[in-house]
Amino acid sequence: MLQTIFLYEWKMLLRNKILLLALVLFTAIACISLNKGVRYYNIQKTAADTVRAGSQRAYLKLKNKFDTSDFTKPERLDIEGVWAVDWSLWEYAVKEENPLSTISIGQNDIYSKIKRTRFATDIFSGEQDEFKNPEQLLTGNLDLSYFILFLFPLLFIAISYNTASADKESAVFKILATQKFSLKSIHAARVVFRWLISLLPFVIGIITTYFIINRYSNFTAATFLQFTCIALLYAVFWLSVVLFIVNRGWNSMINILSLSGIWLLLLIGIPGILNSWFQYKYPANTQQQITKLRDEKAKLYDLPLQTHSAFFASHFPNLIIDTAVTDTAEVKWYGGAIMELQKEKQLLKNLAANVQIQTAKEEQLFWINPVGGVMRALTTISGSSLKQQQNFENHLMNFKQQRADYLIANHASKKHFGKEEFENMPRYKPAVTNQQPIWQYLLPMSLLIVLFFMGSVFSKANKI
Amino acid sequence: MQTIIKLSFTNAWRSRHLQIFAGILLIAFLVSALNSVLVLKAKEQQFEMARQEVRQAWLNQGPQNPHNAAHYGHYVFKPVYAIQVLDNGIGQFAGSIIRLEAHAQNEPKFSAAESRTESSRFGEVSFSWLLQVLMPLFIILLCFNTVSADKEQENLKLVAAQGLSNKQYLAGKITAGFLIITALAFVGLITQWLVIKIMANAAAMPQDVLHSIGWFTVYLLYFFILITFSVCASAWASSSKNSLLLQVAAWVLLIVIMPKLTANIGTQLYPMQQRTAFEKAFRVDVEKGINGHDPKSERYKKFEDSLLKKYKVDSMTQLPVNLDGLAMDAGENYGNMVYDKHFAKIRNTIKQQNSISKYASLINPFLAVRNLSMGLSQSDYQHQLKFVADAEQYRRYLINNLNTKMAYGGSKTGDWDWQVNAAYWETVKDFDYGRPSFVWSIKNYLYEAVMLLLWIIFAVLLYILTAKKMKLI
Repeated sequence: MLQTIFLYEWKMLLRNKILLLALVLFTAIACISLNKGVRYYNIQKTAADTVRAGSQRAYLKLKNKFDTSDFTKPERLDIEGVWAVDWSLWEYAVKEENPLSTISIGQNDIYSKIKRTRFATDIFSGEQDEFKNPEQLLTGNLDLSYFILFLFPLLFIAISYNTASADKESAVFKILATQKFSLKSIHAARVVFRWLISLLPFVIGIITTYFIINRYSNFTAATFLQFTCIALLYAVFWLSVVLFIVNRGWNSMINILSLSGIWLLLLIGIPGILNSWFQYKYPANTQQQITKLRDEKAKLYDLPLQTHSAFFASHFPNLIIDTAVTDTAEVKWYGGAIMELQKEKQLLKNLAANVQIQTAKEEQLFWINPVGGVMRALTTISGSSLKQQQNFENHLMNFKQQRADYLIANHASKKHFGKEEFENMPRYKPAVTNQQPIWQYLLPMSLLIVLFFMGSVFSKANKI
Repeated sequence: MQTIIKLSFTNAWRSRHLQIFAGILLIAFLVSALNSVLVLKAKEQQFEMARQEVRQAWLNQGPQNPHNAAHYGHYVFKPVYAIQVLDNGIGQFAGSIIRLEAHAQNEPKFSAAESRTESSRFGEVSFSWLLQVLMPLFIILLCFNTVSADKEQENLKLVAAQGLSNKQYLAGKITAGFLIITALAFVGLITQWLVIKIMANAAAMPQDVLHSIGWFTVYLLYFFILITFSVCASAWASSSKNSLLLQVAAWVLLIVIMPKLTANIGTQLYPMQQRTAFEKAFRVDVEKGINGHDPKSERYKKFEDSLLKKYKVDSMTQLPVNLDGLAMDAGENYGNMVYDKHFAKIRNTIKQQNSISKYASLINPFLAVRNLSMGLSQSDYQHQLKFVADAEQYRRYLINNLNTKMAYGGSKTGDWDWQVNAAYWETVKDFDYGRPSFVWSIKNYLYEAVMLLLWIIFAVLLYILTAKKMKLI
């Protein structure tokens, strides 16, 4: 049966010029979206590589100074001073671009992924990101993820909404009923064929993607497969929805209205309303936080010298400190710098806690916003979720603390911060990222698939 | 014609799916108004508190070296207006804070989207979104079978028998559709303003009212175009089903696909200069000028000599002014020139990228309306640029003031510990963002306005052509 139906559908497809044109158009859009992703990845990769190369050059230049300086010249503090070393390193922390960002740009174009490791640069500055066009950000990216999430269902709906109803309207139900297979199985097979046809542009896109990105560093077949499976799960969801509606026995008009309505509700209505609600519920409080941070940091240097000395001693309990340091205002600068970092760390922690509440709430609401769950799964796989961004920022903050402690401790306890100290200085290494579980984001969608399939299996609407 | 209008009203009133959709729209108007006003209220509060805190911090610096104050810096915040409840535009994605400091022109930072998850990419349910995206669907639902159903039910023959001309028949259908949609949209607008009036802190200014009227007029023109096209498509279509399919496909193409496609083409045609290349070119240029913090440089020495000559003295100690202040001011002036040159390139690229969507409004009225809507609600890129330009003007005023104080305030060259008294900070005026006028807002979108008018002409021509070609019998 399947072979006959598929053959029939294939012939119908070849005869339908509009459908063929639509397929070509959608394949072209899939290719454009892939091209967009590849271009985006290459730009980001070049930026990251350039910054890394610059960091390395600055490091070697400074190393050369330490290798050749005898620290007798009066300007030695310009080389070995805590802030001089911190400044001259021009080192950047780079959040590695995930090869899957070629198919799912996600939030990559919004978050800062290149940040200076200089500890005297606060968390609100020091980015080295590419310039952004806010209107482009508002419009969003036409990547392969967008294609599968938004455009694939439209194509599928457009070619399958009348699979059963057209037969009913043209009175061929009776002829079909004479076949040895049930009407439902015949229509199911036809919908499946049309589903496969509408998947074609995506399949072409994803296969091409594989051949392009498998050469990229950090590419793993497992995550690519995971991405493809999520996309297919989503496609299966739409198969279940269309089967459910087609088996209701409604006329073509009601079918197209219902399916368009579901598309609108799931992809625009519910996510849009929730997004607006979250904007109100979890506002970005940065305006006040940033001004407060600056003023709190400035006030740290008004604290008396004794407070700084005590803080310094408690922060470095095992350090044998040069008395010349503790007795002078130098300890004030050292203590102040560490206190500043601690304030920033606390602020980052508070922001992270706020985000944690927000994301947890969003995850709960995936039960009414299943597409949001799929989107979260895709952004997580492509390494552009907010959680991953915060992990990157926390890792950088911890490194800044480590670097500051090392520089200050060595300067305070030794006569010179020399070649050996420079070579042993910690250098930034990207955090080891563990793949976060994503299955929980897909549970609502999986449940809906089961429900829709059951609904279409048990439907008794399409009768002669 | 009156009978046709009345009949169309009755049909719309009786239609179950139109009732449901209109109900959903009305609820959505209220929900969007409540949400947008609550967000506006929170933003207003935050803006005012942050602005006051920053000003107080500036005034309460106490005795301080002017150049230290220049490094301590200042923050300016982008104000929010009641009109932005109607259309938040790029609000979520554009930075709203600029740090003003010596030696550097910083970009606006901290967009709301930076602290949000990927959910922010789904867009927000604002009044403009409802009118731009959802209302066209309602129009399709209202008009897709307005003529085709009459054709299928053979009512057209009855219409012809009444002696009604094609023009009158179509005009009746279009007018009825337009009146229904206008009434719905007007209810939406009133809802937005009522909620603003009741809940928002700041009262809407007369300028907001003027902007609203202009803004709403744009949407009325948009609806007229859509309704005319929808009615005419219904007349041309072979069946109601085909009419619906065609119109939904047009909606998908023009509203879902095309904006992204044009934005994509924009970035492909006009790639943004890479940050590293920008900084390299900037550094090369800036190093050709004077650096107020590098007395050893050749240019600094030349500047020093010129001052010695000007004041006819032999050494710096004899100078009646502080050379550091003047050198820093000269450095600022040079740096400003370099920044202007390089930032102009970036902003020009952004404008070029956005120009594709602008020019595409020739084939898609949605794009013209989207741009005009953002412009009139003062939430577009042009207003963002205006804010950045004003902030930069203020930075120049601020830093120049501080450098001048350092140079002529009585300090000596090399005396970085010299401090001005606490009263001085009061003499530096606060940042006051000059809100652009209605004319300024619309001037940026003349092309889109012309395109919208052109679309009206297309619609009228289509109406005439359809009336000519349509056969009632």
